[in-house]
Amino acid sequence: MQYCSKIKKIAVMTSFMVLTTSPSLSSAAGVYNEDFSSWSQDVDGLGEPIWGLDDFIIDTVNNSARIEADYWSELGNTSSTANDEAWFASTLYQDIDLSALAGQNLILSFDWNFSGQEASFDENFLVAFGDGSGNYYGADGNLGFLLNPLDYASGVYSIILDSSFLNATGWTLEFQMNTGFDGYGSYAEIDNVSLNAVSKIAAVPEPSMLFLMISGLICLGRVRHTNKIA
Amino acid sequence: MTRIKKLIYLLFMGLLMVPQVYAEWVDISPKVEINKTPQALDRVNRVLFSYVTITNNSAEALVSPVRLYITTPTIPVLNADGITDSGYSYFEVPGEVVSGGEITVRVDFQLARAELIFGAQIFQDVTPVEVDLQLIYHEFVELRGRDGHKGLFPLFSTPTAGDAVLHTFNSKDVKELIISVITDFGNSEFTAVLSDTSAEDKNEWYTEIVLPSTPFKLRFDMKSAYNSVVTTESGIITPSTFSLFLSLAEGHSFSVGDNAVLLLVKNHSNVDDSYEVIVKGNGGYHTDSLLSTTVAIIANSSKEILVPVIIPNNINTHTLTITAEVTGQASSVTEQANKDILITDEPLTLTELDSKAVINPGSCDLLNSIQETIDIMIAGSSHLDANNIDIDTVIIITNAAHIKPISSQLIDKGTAANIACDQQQADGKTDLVLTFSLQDILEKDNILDQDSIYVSIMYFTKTGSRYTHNATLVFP
Repeated sequence: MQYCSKIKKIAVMTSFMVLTTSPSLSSAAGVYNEDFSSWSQDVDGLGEPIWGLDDFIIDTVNNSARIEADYWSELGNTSSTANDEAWFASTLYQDIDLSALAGQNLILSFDWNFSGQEASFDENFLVAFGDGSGNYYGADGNLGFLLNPLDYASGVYSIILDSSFLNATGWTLEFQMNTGFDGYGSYAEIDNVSLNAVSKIAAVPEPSMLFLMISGLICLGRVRHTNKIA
Repeated sequence: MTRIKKLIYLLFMGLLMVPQVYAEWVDISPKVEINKTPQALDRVNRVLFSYVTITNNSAEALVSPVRLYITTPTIPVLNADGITDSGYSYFEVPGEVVSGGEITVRVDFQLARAELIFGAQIFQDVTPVEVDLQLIYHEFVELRGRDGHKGLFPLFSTPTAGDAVLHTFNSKDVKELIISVITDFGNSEFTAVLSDTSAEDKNEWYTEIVLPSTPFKLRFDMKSAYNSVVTTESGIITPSTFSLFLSLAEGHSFSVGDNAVLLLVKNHSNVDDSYEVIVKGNGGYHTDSLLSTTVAIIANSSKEILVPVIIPNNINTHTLTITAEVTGQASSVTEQANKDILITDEPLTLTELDSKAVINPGSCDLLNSIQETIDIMIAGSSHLDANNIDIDTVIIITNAAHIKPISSQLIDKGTAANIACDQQQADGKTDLVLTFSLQDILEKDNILDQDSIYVSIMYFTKTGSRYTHNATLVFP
């Protein structure tokens, strides 16, 4: 039973991996984060931060980035010393290469974690494409955002971009943390940002993955059967 | 009250009495779903913004003008399209949102480190379309409203009973149009209904309506895209129940002698009628009516009437206006038709001197004693191109015979002016010189013992016009 439980977990995870990573890579449009050293930082629309506070924390060991807002030296006291420079928003962004060949899709994916100091936060974390005009767009090419969590949460984001993005130029990928005003901060962690051009050939599970998935489903059936008998 | 005060008072009253049209904006928020994103920073323009997404939950498309009202915002709104009388900032919602569709509008706010809360409502303009309908024959009948609500209703030609046609073109915002033809007495009604249910391009609706013989009204019931209905009715239109067409009976121009014009009277009505016909000419030689008669024409048919016109000799080129007045006895309506006719009487000039012959007008001797021929010149002029004369049709008409020329020549020999033969000279216009055998003329007419004879020269142009010239051959 314990074995089945483990197998089931692996199978579910594997299913997710199959669905999200199995398209064969061809001409890579680019892996973007690495250590985020090439990314641009903007505070309040005024450009790079001046004082070097904690708005952007780049972890060069794990190659991840953290954006935070509304942190103070004394929790909840906006009269104390500010830990962050941003008064309105901090934005971490990068020009993106949307080149792709005929018959390819562009797939964007990244890991994210939105958390902070309060249960009812007033910060707003969003991820979007920018076209240089100041507007933000979602993966469908319409006005909106790629990701805009309404609760503290984390996950792996992966999506196929609308075909209108193929070979478009002048676009940026932007992670923005909009500040709250109550002295209780929030932060967002980002990692494994990638944008790849992949062929549109249907995904085919690899044999080892298939074995694990089938095993998990068998175990799932057995557990349900046992529960019914019990 | 002083005079100035009275004046100010009157001006004030005048301002109050000026009719004004106000848009009628109705809250249609219950028909839509509105979602707002939390505030984001536009780092390029340094403003806060929220995306407001409007989903149309109604069964009908949401058609502009539609506005997004921002109510009670905690941060001042920026870049709004306007402010309502109530003080709300609003943004125009562009285009059309189909049923189940959605549209996103960006709402900007000032930079502020404060909690952003605002209300959003959707309003639609349902102002009834203002209509100013006029029916003017030969001109467009135009429904006027604000932009996007115009429709053209040209009434094709003078309304004529039976076969009048009404063309209709509508703007895309007109959803349905009912055109009713109502008899003044309410006896019958002909209706055309235009609807956008099947038309992809609503800008090209079209219909035809057969107009009645009796007086009628046109009524337009127009349903706008906002489901408001506007009804407009014309005044009484009395249709023309018959029409006239006056034309030349033959050729393109008249000359002296017997001619004719053709009058076509067409009865468009559904009843038989009789018509009093009077045809006149404005020339001084037509002081009396050319024709005065009564004709009966059955329903939906026509009749041709030949009207003789006699053009006298020796007249200058001029325009004769023929006027036909026809009165329908059933309707007591009189229609009139006019036709301008160019009358030409080209001078006939005879050449070659001979002591034994004289021609009127002029005094040139005609007889060539050596060849025994007579040359007659038809002078080209601004009215007559001699090259256009069909030479095979030229004849001299005497009492006894039609005599053809023995030869002809196109040459610039003289002028059309009625001057002496020995003073004729080239005028830059080609003339037709015809040579006749004098013996043929004299023998066939058996006039060897006469002092003079009357002759006519007749010919047709290549375009079919007939010309006749009269002359007198004198043998002193």
